[in-house]
Amino acid sequence: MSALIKYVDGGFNLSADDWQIAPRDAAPQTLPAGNWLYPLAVWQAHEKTIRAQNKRFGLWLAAETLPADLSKLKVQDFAAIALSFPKFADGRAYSLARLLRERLVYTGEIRAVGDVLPDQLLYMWRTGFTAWALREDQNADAALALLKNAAGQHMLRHAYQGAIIPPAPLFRRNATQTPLPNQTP
Amino acid sequence: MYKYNADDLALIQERAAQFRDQVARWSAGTLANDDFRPLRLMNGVYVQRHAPLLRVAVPYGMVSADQLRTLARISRRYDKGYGHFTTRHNLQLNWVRIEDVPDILDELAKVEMHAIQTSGNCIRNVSSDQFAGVAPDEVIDPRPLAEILRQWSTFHPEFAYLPRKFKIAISGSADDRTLGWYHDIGLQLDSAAGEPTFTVLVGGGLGRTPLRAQVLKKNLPWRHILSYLEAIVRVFNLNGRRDNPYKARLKILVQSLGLREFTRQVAAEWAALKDGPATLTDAEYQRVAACFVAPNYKTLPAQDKQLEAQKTAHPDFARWLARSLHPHKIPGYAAVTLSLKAPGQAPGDLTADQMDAVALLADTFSFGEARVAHEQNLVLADVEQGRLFELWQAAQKVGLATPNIGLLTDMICCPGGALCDLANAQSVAIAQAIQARFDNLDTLTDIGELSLNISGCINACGHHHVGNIGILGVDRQGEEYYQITLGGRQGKDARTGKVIGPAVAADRVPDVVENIIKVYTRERRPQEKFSATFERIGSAQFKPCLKENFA
Ligand code: HEM
Ligand code: SF4
Repeated sequence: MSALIKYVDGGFNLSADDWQIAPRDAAPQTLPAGNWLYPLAVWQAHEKTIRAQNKRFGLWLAAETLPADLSKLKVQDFAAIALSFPKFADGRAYSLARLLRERLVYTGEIRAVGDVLPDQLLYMWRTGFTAWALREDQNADAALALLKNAAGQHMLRHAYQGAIIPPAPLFRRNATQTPLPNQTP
Repeated sequence: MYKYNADDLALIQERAAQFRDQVARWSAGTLANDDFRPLRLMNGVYVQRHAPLLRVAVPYGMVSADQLRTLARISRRYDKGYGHFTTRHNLQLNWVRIEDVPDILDELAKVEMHAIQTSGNCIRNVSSDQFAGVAPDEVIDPRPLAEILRQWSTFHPEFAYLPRKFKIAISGSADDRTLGWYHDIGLQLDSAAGEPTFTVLVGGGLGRTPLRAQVLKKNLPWRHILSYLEAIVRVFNLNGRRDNPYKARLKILVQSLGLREFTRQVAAEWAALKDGPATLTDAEYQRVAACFVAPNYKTLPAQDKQLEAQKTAHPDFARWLARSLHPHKIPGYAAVTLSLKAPGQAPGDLTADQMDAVALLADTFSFGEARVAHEQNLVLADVEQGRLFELWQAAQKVGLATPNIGLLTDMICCPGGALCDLANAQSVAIAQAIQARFDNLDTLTDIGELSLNISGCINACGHHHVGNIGILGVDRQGEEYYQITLGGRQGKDARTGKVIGPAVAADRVPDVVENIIKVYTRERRPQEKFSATFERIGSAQFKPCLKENFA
């Protein structure tokens, strides 16, 4: 598995990955010890077993997951929730992440898995993701470098709208409200 | 016009820098074609038949003289010295090199312009009324809220990868000049107890499955517009189909869920978002609205004294006035439409020299601003009646005074086979053949107001469904054929037309149009518009127009 990027304490860093995605047809008792992200169906079928056998467990959600599926879960019990990008242009997980944070007040790790590319990373971060398992062919160091501009500042500092980061839209933050002089002579 | 502050400017500069880096990685081969494609689309770069094109946003159609001069310079330096205005207020440069786009974006940023979200499966450039702020039938100037929507939708992180493109139009008048019924969302501003409110139309669209929008909500207080839109777009993002691009638009979701269920889902989502941080503040509205205060109008008589004499002395001027003026809410002023539909010109095209000329006209006659109309014309919104004659003379010199606004030759037309990969047909050639057939102004004036819209394929970029006469290019075993629809219309009671019979070969289109006009002018009652006549007498009367032996 390629390196994991994590957002911790206000910065993006490379990190070792100690989670694995359990197969969709997994029988939890047959899996070796470790940190597993269980597909929703596996969790629903084997919740008791999983809770009995693990202290830490995570959830893997397909892009098709609907808000109604989430509201039945005790999401806080999961140490990590993986949201899947079957294709990077499939943007459902952005809404799911935001719902997990805003509606279900989930505070654990939300990680992007699947077709995860550096150019979408900041949008994901703004909607509540905190970890990224990049697509196999991607270089995590190069991805980290892309998050900053030439001056070493984070890109997308000037977001207009509120999301998870930042929670308030620009007009509720300290908007610089002085118009610039016209740029052309 | 809206003036950028430091944040607005930083945002588009950042984007330009980011795009420069993406292009560099793509050129170096470290960013794969498939991974780059959505990124460039979101920056307005399509790759079409002959070359990449760049679609520059003209947010809600407002463009300044300085911006026009920059567009002229860019089109000379990086393109072939012309551009094409689309039906959604954008300017397409058809012959750019991808490698040059970062430099172009830097130049655009200097005049507060960009190409952000002019294509791709995201929220597109918000479109509005070309007579915003000046139309006598206006209840509320939509531009401050249009700008607020522009900012809200720009780089919205949750909604950058929607199932399909998402188009919003906003109108603040009694009549609708924005085609709100055929957008994913049409917003109609009204006023209740002195506060702006919205009627929200949802699920309209043209393309392969033309559907008229339905009313989702009435009397939505303006402060809640952002949270309400977030609720709609989130329901769409999570539930819209992603398996088939032709079934992925919001209209299909609304149709398949039914309005009741869709309304229920939006209401449930909105209940959680309402009164949250996205709720607009008075301070923000006023900050933005301050950019749209009325210019320094003079106190003028309602009717200019010389105008009648000028009209009598110059019948050509009178004829141009009759077509090109839209009334203005300030006495003594008029809004003037400059026709981009001169004979022989591709509808909506403007040369770099003409862009410079329009900039000068805007500076001289209209407080340095112009607007793009979705009918692919330009508008000078604030002209003193006493200076119309002077304006007419100047506009004539640069080919922008064709007196055909609202007439048959004021066609909406997509670029079609000349440029577009998806085209079945040479829509521009058909437009020119029709223009050539109807080159007599007296004939055109006798026919009266009539809209003719042409699309080169079923994607309907030329709005053929809503033209009184709609012409659609179809492929018949490798040959270009044209399907004719009649009775479509824009406005408050917009609707799509009906197909009247089998498609006809390209060379027969001008004949068929002429036949249709014959039937219309024969059958119409005094003052009766085309769509009314069509509805009254029905398509059977028009069907013979398709036949070779029509007499
Ligand atoms: C690069 C050339 C272009 C391409 C590849 C293109 C592609 C498309 C496609 C695929 C659709 C159908 C979308 C759907 O049904 O979901 C569409 C719709 C549309 N396009 Fe274009 N287009 C191009 C140029 C233009 C131009 C020049 C205009 C304006 C003159 C335009 C305006 C529109 C409009 C108004 C629609 C209808 C939107 C709707 O269905 O609601 N496009 N275009
Ligand atoms: S209608 Fe078809 S031919 Fe015309 S621009 Fe759109 S996609 Fe191209």
